[in-house]
Amino acid sequence: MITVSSAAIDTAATLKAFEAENQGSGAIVSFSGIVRNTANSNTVTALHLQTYEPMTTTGIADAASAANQRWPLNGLHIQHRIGTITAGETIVFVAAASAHRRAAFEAVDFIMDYLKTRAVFWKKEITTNGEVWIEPRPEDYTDSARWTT
Amino acid sequence: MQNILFFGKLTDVTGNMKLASDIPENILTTHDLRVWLNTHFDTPHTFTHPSIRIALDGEIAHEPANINGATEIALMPPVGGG
Repeated sequence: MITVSSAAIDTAATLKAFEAENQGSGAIVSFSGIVRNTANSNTVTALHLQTYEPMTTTGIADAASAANQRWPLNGLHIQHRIGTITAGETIVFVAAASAHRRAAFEAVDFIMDYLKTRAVFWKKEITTNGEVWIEPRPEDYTDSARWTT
Repeated sequence: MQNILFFGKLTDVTGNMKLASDIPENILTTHDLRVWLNTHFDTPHTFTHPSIRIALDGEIAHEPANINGATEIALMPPVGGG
């Protein structure tokens, strides 16, 4: 399931529902990304994310298909917020279910690397010192490159 | 009528996510459009910078491309990640 929405993410409820949908899986791994309240010594109040649909959701769906081809997954849930997300709020939630833990861990890691470097989002950081459009860090690209070998 | 869309840092230049006016009839290619946008927004290189990609009706264009027939043209700076 893929959701790109401005609605708040209830991670506890979403994880509980995902577990119920994937009964019988031996491993469920989830990741929650939270908007940090500091960056480069600035106080971050919020992030603002733009998307271009349908390219954003289509791209995430392609990444999900790649994950399903690469690992034996029973379920995959990707939920990403757009619009303005306040510091401390959950911006992304990814969960994967598989028979064994390694596949679930790696699939979530793979999806997060896609979301951090290639997903069609434009992200503005809103701080107490101003606003700035931000791009992936070099280490984000290094992380993502792990999956091409 | 073609919708011209802007994203990310380009909206700081255009002030809007959508071009408020029609493009001239003599703008036929992605290159024409980039050059015209530089003039229209009084910016020397913003829209001709190679990092800016163009999507025609939701598909990344292989430039130079003809923009005739496209109803939606998106100018996309490098993505920022989620």
